[in-house]
Amino acid sequence: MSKKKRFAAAVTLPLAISVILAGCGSGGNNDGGNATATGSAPTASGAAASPSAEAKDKPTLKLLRNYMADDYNTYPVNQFLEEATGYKLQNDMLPQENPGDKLNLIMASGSDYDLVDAMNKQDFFNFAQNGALTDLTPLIDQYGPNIKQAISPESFSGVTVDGKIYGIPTLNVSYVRTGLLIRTDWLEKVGKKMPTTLDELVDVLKAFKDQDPGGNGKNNIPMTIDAVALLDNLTGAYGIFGSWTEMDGKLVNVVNHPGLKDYVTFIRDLYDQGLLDKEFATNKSATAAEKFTSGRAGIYLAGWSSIPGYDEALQKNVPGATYQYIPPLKGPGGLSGFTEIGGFNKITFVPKSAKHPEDAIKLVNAMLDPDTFKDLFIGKEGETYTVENGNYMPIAPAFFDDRGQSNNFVIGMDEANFVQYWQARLQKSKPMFDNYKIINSVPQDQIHMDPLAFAPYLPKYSANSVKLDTLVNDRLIQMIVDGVSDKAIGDLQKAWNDAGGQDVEKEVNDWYASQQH
Amino acid sequence: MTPSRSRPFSEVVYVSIVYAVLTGAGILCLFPFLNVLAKSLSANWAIVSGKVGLWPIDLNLKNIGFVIGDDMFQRGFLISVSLTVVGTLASVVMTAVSAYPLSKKHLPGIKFVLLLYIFTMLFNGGLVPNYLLIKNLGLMNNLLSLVLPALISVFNLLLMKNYYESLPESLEESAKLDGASNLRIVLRLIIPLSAPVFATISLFYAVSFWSDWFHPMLYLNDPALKPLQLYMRDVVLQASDENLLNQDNDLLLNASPEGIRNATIIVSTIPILLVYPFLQKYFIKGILIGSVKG
Repeated sequence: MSKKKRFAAAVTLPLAISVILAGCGSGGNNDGGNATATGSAPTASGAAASPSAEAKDKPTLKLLRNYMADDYNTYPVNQFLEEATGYKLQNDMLPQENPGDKLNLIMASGSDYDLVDAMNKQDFFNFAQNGALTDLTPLIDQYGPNIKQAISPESFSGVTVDGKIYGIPTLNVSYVRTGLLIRTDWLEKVGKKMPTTLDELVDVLKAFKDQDPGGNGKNNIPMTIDAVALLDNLTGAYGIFGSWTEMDGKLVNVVNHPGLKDYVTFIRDLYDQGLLDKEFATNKSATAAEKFTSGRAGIYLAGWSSIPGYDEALQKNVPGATYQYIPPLKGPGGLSGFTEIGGFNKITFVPKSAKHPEDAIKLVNAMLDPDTFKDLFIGKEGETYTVENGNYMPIAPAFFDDRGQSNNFVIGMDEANFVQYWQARLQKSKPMFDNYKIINSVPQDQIHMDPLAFAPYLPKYSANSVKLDTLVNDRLIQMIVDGVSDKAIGDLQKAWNDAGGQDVEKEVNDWYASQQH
Repeated sequence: MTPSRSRPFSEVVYVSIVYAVLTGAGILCLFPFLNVLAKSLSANWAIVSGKVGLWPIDLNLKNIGFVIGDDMFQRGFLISVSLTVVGTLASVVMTAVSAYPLSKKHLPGIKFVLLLYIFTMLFNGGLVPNYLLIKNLGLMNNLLSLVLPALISVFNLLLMKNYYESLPESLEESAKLDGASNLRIVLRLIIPLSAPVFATISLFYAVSFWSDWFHPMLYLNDPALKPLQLYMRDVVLQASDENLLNQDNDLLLNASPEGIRNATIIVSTIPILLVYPFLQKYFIKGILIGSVKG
């Protein structure tokens, strides 16, 4: 017994001491020494690549980044950026959970970061209004010709407070995100064509229910969704596009939309006739996905980014299964279309306490040089991608290993080109790319951009929109299950107004009216 | 004293029902764990389509292998193990040297000193002052920020103090009569006698250092310093329902498949699970330490 203990002590003690020493070593010098293990490799290569004189006047820039799964400092893009811009970069990272809280803590205690990513418009505007940020207008004028070239005035207007530019906006790719996947092999089995109207959809669903083309018996589900009441494509058939739809120059929330009652009644009928999954109200997204990928459901509302995982599972469970998104369905009034989302992905700012504001802007400027941007975003032709018929095709696995996370490194987009570059990553999976195209290459008049995507910070909207959307969703699901009536719709509108909806509606419309001129 | 051979039948029934219910409850607690274990050993397609229950489908070690081979995981694991080992050793030493004098009630002013310790248990500065303290000490992005503030947990200190108080005073007196110095008494008498309390307190400290998520989240911004818990939370969160609804699709395109997330949980949990069986008897004793007074 005592021998064992002594042995344990002999093993643990040197280990402990060495770890303590290591801990002190990295703690002792604060400048760049923090990442001794990780920093050394890029440093060596960076110094070798850039002229030594130049590297000397350029300081190490400290960046605070959004969460990503890999380590920024060892990811290949970081090394590329250090070589291309001559700056050494030390990237710290916000946590994935509640990044805003941490960001506020860091900003409140005075940070020495040179560039900070804010995911949240609200945080950015709060900092700007409280005077915590550097006015970038003169710096961009002086050091940012590429920045001016790449980023449109419209994008800049979203980060301007009191006439001063306080941030570099990074755009999202605007796209339609979800659609209804339908089993095309089931369609063939029941002898129906791809539905183009709601009536044809109901017809197909009835055939799915009666003929059970999947051979699932009592487990057969014509259509499944998770607990979401507003279904892309189906809402479009009633002229509803997302939470806010533009009608006659005004923004109308879904609760006050004239098509809402007919829409909910339609879904209610599907539910009533057993065409919609009886359990949908309690489905989690994983549950609904299980029903579709195990071959029990004929139609499923899915985002295209999930398709690679679903495809593999479906093929294993039902070899030879085929599926695709349903193109826009026409409603009784002849309306149809999808909701497109987009807007700012993040806003990058320079805190007032930054040590190197000029160099920060010079760095962003260098990153937005068109060639540097392309290399940063998708790498080098022949190494990470090829061009086929004007499409950028990734070379696996190099593309996904070296540039798969490049969107996190970007500060500001080369707005004319990034969408085209970005599509390379969709080619990761052919079914995903093909289906992305189906819902995203519909005629322009059938794609409706979320009118608030590029709105500046609207305080009431920011504070209430999640709460209001949840309220609407819960009430609509209740109606789908229990029945639709004018009273139920009226109650919903009243509850929405009472929960702050009325104020939000006014705020949103005041802003929208100011944009018209 | 010894139980008689023939128990009344009603008692046998009662005891067997109690055993059955408790065993059932114990097994019930195992199910979620088994499900995660099964998922970590299954192919991704089987998980996505909901086929995996308690048994792995399409059994393979790819997920586990991927996690173990991942740089971020290895580093996080190493950091967590080092933090736990160093933190536990340092904490036990610091707690012991504080608790021992506090157990000597005849020392002048010792009650006041004890009060100071207990004060910190009841009142503290709160999140932001703590953050500013760590920042101004220059400990941001430094692993010491996780060890130094956690060196003494007053609760553990009180447990240890009670243990020392429970040692018969005559033991030290007789050693003194034999001519032992104070130092000799501590080294030769008290420390060997403290093995059970050291083991208990070590376990308490080890578990708290190992599972600490909040402080690293607060004080560490350098991704290279992420301990295991922080890494694991991030990986698991990637596919939360909330994320699926709100996050931009680029993040989802890079998210780890379900199997890898489950494998991360398994590989991170097993080390601390392995510690328990060996220290369990001390653990049970430790819960009793505070209550038994000599």
